[in-house]
Amino acid sequence: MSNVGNRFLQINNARALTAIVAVLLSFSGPLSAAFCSLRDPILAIHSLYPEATQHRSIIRPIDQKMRSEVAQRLPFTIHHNEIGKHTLYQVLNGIDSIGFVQARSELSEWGLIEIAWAISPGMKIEGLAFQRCRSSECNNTLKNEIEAALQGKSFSELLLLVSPDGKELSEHGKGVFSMNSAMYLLILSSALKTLAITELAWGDVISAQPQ
Amino acid sequence: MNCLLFKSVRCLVHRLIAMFLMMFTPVFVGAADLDHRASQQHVAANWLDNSRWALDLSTRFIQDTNGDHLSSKNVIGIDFHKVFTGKHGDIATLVFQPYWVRLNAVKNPAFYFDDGDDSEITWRIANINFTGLTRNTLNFRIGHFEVPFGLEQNIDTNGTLRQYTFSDRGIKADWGVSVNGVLAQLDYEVALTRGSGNNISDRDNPYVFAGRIGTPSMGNTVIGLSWFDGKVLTAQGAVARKRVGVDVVHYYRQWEMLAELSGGDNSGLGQGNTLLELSWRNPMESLHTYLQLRYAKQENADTWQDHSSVSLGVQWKANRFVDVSTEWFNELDAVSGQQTASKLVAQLRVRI
Repeated sequence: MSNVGNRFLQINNARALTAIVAVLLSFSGPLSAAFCSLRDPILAIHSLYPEATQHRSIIRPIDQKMRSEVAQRLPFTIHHNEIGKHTLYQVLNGIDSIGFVQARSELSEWGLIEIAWAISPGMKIEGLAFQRCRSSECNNTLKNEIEAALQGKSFSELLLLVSPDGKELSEHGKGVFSMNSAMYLLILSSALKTLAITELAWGDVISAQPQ
Repeated sequence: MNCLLFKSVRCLVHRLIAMFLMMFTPVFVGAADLDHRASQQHVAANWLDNSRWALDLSTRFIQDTNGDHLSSKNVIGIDFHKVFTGKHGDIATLVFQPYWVRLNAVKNPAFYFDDGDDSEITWRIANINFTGLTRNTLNFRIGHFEVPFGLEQNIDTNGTLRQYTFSDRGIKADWGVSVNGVLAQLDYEVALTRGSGNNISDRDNPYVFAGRIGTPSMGNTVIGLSWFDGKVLTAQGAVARKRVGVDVVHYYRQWEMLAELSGGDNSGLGQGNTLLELSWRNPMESLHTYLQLRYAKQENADTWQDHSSVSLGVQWKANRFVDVSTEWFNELDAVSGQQTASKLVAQLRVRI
């Protein structure tokens, strides 16, 4: 074995590891789970866009600056654990772009809820699909009701549905939804954050598409 | 007869690898060409575009509580993920995870280590999955990947203390090829691999043919059927193993219930294996606790032996970078004449 190898084996590995970690943490960027666990929302893409023939992944970083910019546009912002690289899926029919899909996680009483959002080239909500939800409230009735209420709405139109402090539905929003459930606000917050982040991180991609 | 079969399998694996490389070289050349002339289409422009990468460091201490023996394992690795994409959509996904592993006083290390005080470059996942041929209904994977079987297929256990049943089959990940896909009603992966694990070796002509077909992994109840047929390389030579199994996962609020049952034989001797797990996460999912019960029944000459154990674990994700985990493992009974094993493991893992 080489001298370098021998010297490495002789030192206390745990201490060496701690030192390396400390140095790297001082200038590191944020990160999530091991990448082998990443899964594309294939079923959601094809249920939201049945005519899709393929999709194109566009991976971009979401940083602290964007998180602050979301906070300026909304009475809430993304969780700091969401800082990192995220994927926008450009949905294709042949070579034509027909929309975008982004999957986002929201914190709920029963753990993280992951929702895949369909976004039109004009930056309006086209639909949603539950990727993961452990609550029994996440059923087709709720999904269809919310989808009907949000479909075709832009960021500014969705913002009218939440109160100024973002802690409840606005009076207008309460009139739109049939029941008083925290799930409506949670899903609405997810839609607003998704549109805000999409515009901040992938605005150039969206604006390059024919409306 | 057997020799002919193994030679055929080996030949098939080699031919498939060569075929994939030949088939997809023009695809990547095409993608590279697109990359240069289609910046307007937001196609990846270089190797780091459309990619994620991280350094993954961990140190693990294993205390044998019966034998009063302490060992450790230090790991440094790269985790690289890249999506190759072109004008017509995604072409392939590359996952590349080489890890340098250093063992200190480890008892019974994996056979590719010289001894319990050795270091080696190991491969967790290192493969490319070609996804651009269909609407993800028929993908082709080549490289080093988890052998598709049971619960391991959908739940990431690479580098974690929490493990499932790969030790029953003697192999976790292997070099080879697979077809895989996501359909409206099922996920599947069928693989033909070398059977030698970390390193590619044709000693004793090992091979594995395995697969799993299951309901979509995004559901709150997931059911899968698996099979495993192969000769798995060990230090003493290749061991023939056959298994069929069923796995079930059910999520209810913050609770997760998992079960895997499998049966088969090792070189003609019957084997049965059961794993049950109950786990709970807090709403933030930063804290995860689990209890595992294992029961195995093994044919030995003219008798059957029972073997059972329990594991209790906690994983705490302190922040985006650091996770701390610990697990207590205890054998409830052992092969006659041997002492039951008991160990306490603690791990610090940092991803930056």
